[in-house]
Amino acid sequence: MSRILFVMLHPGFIRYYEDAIHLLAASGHEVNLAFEISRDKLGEDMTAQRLAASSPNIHCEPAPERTESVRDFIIRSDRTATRAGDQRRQRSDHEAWESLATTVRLIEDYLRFFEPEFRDASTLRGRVEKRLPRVYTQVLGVAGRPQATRRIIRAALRGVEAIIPTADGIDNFLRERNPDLLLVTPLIELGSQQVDYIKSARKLGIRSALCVASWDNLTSKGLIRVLPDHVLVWNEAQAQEATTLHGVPPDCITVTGAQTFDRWFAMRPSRSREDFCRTVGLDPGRPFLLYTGSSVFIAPDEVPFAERWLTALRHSGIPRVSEVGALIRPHPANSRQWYAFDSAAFANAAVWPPVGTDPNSHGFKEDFFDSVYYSAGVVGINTSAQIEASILGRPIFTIRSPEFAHGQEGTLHFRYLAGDGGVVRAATSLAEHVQHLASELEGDAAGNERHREFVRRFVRPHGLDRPATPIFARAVDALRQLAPPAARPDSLWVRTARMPGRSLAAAALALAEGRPVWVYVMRQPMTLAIHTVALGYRLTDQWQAHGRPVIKRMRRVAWRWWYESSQWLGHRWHRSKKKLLRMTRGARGTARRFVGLR
Amino acid sequence: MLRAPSTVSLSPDFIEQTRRQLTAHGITDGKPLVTFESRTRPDIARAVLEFLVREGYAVARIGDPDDGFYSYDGVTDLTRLAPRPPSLELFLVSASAFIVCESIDLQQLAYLTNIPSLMINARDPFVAYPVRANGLMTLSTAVDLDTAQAITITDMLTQPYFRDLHKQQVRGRRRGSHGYRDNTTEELIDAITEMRAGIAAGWTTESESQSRFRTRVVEAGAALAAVSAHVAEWGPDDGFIGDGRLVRFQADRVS
Repeated sequence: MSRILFVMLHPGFIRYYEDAIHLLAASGHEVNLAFEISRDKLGEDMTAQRLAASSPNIHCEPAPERTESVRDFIIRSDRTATRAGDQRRQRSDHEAWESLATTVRLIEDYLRFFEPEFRDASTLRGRVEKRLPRVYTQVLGVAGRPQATRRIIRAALRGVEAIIPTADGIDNFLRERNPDLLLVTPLIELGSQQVDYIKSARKLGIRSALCVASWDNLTSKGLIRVLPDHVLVWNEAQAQEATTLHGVPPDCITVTGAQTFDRWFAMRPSRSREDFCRTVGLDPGRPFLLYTGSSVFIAPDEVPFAERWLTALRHSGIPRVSEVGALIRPHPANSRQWYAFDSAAFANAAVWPPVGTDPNSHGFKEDFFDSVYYSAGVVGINTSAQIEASILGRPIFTIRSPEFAHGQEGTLHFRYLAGDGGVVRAATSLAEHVQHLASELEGDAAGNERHREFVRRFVRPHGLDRPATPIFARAVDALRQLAPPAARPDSLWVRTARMPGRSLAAAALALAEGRPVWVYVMRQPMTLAIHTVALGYRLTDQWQAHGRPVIKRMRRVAWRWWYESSQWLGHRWHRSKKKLLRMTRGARGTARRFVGLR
Repeated sequence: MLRAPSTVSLSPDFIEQTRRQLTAHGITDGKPLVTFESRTRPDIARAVLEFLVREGYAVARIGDPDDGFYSYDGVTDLTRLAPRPPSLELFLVSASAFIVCESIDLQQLAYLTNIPSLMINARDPFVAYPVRANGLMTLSTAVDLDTAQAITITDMLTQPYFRDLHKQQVRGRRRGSHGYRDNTTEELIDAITEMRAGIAAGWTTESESQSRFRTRVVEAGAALAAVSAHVAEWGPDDGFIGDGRLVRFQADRVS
């Protein structure tokens, strides 16, 4: 039985590969899933448990424990996440290396957003900037702009990355699991620590592959910093991105199609249109538009826009637009804001499914399918629901709005939807959007052909009738059968460079505090001054505690000695004097007697 | 000092030049002027503008050009006027019978020119509290995004509310714990009616609920100033928060 180890950032990534994992397990492969962090924001941990229970060949477990600095970093970017393993804080040499790794990778990610293709992506750049300590952004904000310096910095960073040692815990984990193939996803998170799995796999001679989970992964997040042996992508557009933006050799790339959308080709509505409209609270006698909410990065404050959109429809003066129903479907990870939406203020409008519905609950996917299937068109800012709508051939619309510019023109993946060959009709104003609705709601045969071409190109590049899941599973199986690559232990120069690299790691750990530069400049002299003053105090203290009593005791001893000896001498002198006197008196009497006798 | 109306005099040349510009856009001296600035829903804005026009006002709309262009009789939309001299707003406000606004800058411009102001859809009672007696404000309906319940105006004077507001507005966090619903058309028309009545009657009487609300704001400001720099900056000074008021229909709800 072959062993496949699939390392995911968190169980939320299961949804992209669930069917493929089932297929691999059913084919006799033992599939081990390891999650770097646990997360239950949308019931992801439950998904993992459900998956593990579905087959004896599927196992789910936490990935090896990492040091706290990494956990801090991950939590900074996702406050709902907690890292697997012990949370006790230990400052160690290893933590310094981890800090250096995170720093180096974040800087690389930061620099990529200075490239010309990202000139409109200031928000994406800002997202990395928030994670980097200020000292780096101050320097890189200037040095990162010219392409020449960017290249030099990037080359230096690659050198530093090479000397960062692999994590012992991950090495041991891979040795114990001994997989025939290591799959990693998403790998391209900002400052990702998953790079260490690729590095360990290279060191131990284990074949590795990156599974690109979603359509925006290669353009809106970080870089593939250390290349795995293979990269599995959805389509040629992603293959192009992997080559041009990440430097992946074309022969390492396998195009499988978007397995995550396979269900949309096979699904059928779970109820009649009338039942559906009654369930969601819309008039079954009228067509309705589905407004699909976007993620928090794209549309953090979407409710006021949706209200303006609905108002524009209702006051359009075009009956088929003003009377159309409106079903608003909040993005599952950005749904709370819709509590503020007052659907009662608009006729024939509803928010559904209700905010807070568990996306893992029974019927959630079917409800989504029905929403798109029965809709007359789908509207959204920039969301993958627009791809799903294209599979069902529904007209798709968007409105370019300044408040969402960062999530539309500011991202490269939006161009796949709204650029040349895209399926989304993009309006520059609500008035133009109303005109688009008016024309498209009448039916547009040319639009259907455009949709099919988009889906063939973007979702099922091997043919509309060829599901991507078996192709993905076959690609994984083929990679597994390849001979393992030669182990690549650290070279001599890497081990040598690691000695001075330790101070670099220590500096990265210190700089990770994100203090102003002057703090680091002043820290050593201030420390020296404080230690000097403290030494003075300590000496005084020691003198008071030990020196003075000794001197005092010595003085007392000396005084006592002097006193006693002087007393003794005085006494002796006194006695000697008396004796002398007596002797003198005796001598005088003797003399007198002697003289008197004469 | 804040209580006393300030005197601002515009130079005759400036007045003449701006007047000519406004006349070119259809704003004449014939009717009393209302300056309107709001990002509220277009249907609500339209209904309010129509009400103002029906009541005999000429309306000049200013603000963000991305909020859409309004073309009604009696309403002059200056949002897309280019070039728009920076002094235009000053002249408009000073020439208005009263203003309806959402931005604090415009409310303060009204103080400067001693023009009655109605601030709508306010989220922060301390910042929006009108300083002068001729000022009115309405508060947005804040919705607790954990419970999906609208919170009371009294809740909008508590530390948890301000902590969340501060995170969203000052620290720029994308997600807060509160969402907001704009004032409805009926609420805004009520507020404008109260504003007109106040201008006509001279703002002399004040209801018990209004005094109670002011006391609440002052008490909350005193309590929160120690823990919130934002409240310390915008809250009451020596017990003075302002002589203006919250619109009647909201003040009456404060227990």
